[in-house]
Amino acid sequence: MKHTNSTQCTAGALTVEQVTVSVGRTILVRDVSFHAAPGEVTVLVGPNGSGKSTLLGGVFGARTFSGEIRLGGRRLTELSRLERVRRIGVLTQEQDAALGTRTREAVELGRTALQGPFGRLSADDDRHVAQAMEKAAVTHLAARDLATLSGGERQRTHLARVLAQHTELIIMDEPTNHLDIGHQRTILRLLTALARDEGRTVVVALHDLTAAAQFGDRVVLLAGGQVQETGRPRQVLTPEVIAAHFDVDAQWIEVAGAQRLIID
Amino acid sequence: MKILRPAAGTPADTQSARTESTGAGRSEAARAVRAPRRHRARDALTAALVIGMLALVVAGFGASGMVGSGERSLIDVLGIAYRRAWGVDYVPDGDLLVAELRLPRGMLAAIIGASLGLVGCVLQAVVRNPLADSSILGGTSGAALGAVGVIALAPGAALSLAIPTGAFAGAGVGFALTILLASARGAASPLKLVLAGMAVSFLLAALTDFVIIAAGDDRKLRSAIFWQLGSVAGAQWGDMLLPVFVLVCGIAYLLVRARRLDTLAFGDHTAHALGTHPGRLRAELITICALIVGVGVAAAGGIGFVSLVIPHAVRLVVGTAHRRLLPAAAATGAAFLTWADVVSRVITPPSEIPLGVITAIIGSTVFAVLMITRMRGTL
Repeated sequence: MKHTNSTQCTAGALTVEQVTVSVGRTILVRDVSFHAAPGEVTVLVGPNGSGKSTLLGGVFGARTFSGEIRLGGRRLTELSRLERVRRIGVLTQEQDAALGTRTREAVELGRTALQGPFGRLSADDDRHVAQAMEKAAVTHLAARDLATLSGGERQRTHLARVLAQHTELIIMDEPTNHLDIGHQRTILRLLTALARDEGRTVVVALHDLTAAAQFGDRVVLLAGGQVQETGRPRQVLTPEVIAAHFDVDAQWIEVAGAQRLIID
Repeated sequence: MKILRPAAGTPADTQSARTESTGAGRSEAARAVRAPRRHRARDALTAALVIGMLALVVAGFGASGMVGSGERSLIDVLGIAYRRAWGVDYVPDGDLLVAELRLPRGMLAAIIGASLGLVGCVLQAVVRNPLADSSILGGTSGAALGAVGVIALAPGAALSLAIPTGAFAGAGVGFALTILLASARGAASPLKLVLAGMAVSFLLAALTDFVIIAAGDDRKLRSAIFWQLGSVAGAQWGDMLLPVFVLVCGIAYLLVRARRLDTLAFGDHTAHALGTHPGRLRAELITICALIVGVGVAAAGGIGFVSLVIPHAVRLVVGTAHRRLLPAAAATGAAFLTWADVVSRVITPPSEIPLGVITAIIGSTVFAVLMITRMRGTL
């Protein structure tokens, strides 16, 4: 790989300890603890309203929480805004875009969000942007108005922005939303590559249990705002657990030498 | 580097992801050269637009000095401006008309135009709504109520100072009510701000009408309506100090915050992820806008459409990045309003049409044309 040295990064582990998030008097996430190691893809699964997005919101600073979240041994609350943006890249489920924003500009924001008005995109920034757009397959859309893109193209643009940030921790909330099956696989493989080849810490919320089983190194099952199970996919996503929380039948079967989770 | 486990089970997957990014290697290099050049092109375009618009503003001052009852040549106007600026004694015959009536109103039009262009950009980003303008958060209708209240209640003599004061106080009350209402239960979201602004605007507009009717004095009624339509007539050099000060400080502050403003476009969570605290930023920005609108409305009344149309028009040329959009919109707004004022004075001599009427006619036409021709497929 051409830029191997610069894309390698020394990532810290994400440690979430007894985190509780509440809005007013409603507790959305209660006493959640889990560990996401560098070089691994940690997948959050759980039924709608189980608190996945809320929990992730706590990690990237959109929600206040009690408890402790550490990245590479440092408390998140101690990080400056600049450090946070340099170390944590986040893909949310939001699809907003200002009228007239070009795709390329949206991606560049991943590098320039904290610059002053006269800050310039350095050659290094530019390389990250180009590389990220290539990986997210949006290079051909560079000059398009974000508002004219399809849902999937826009999702990939936001993904490219996160990749351009080039952070040690990557958080993605439903990254496969709006994507066709081909792009879904591309993104999931990309996440695996980011973890395995570049040693990043990847935390991703997914609804697709089959994908979670296939691409997750570690699975955290949330329900009712609490962690129900955590471990390797085979240990967590058992037919019994899936039936109990999602009310569907599931089974693991062997396909071409690999174990796959099939939902009925 | 920590563990790099052999990619058990998915060697093909990892392999394909790798080839994808390696294949990009060569084209990346080519693009790395192109991207900064494109940035420079847009920066140059922005600079050209700003300089061009400022030239138009200066030309507008000249025209402003020339037209009206008793026309002057450009040479005369330049001579008068020179004498005014360097404190040389006036030539008695008509210098006063140009130096103390026409030039100040051109200047005030430019300042108000710049303010409105700026505020439009910021509020459209704050409430994440392309229909936002300076009146969206209740400030303009508050100012109208304040001014009309003063016109109705105060005796004629005290008006020159009391009207701006009333307008400024009213704008502050309008903004404050909107923000209080929007943040009554939890942080003020863009939608809550827009809804609260509508409620406050309607209430204050109704109260304004009530005051006008209740005052029941024809002369006062006329002056209240005229004020509501907006005008820079009667501007004096002394009126300029506060608007200029607020405008300069506002532009400086907003430019520092330009990239933060960009992050608001993608949603509050994404803004957080990019290091912006959207709630705090909105509060700061609305305060700045309240100041600019309050001072502006106090000086020139409710001039509509500039803050809606100018940002849209300018965005089509320089893009959405606020570091380019803000200065370009300020300069364009200044040029637009300076010339709108000139037009308002020559179109039906000897009487003049309120500036707000001119801006609404030109503005809505421009807006409709933009909508049909340039925003095709993006709405």
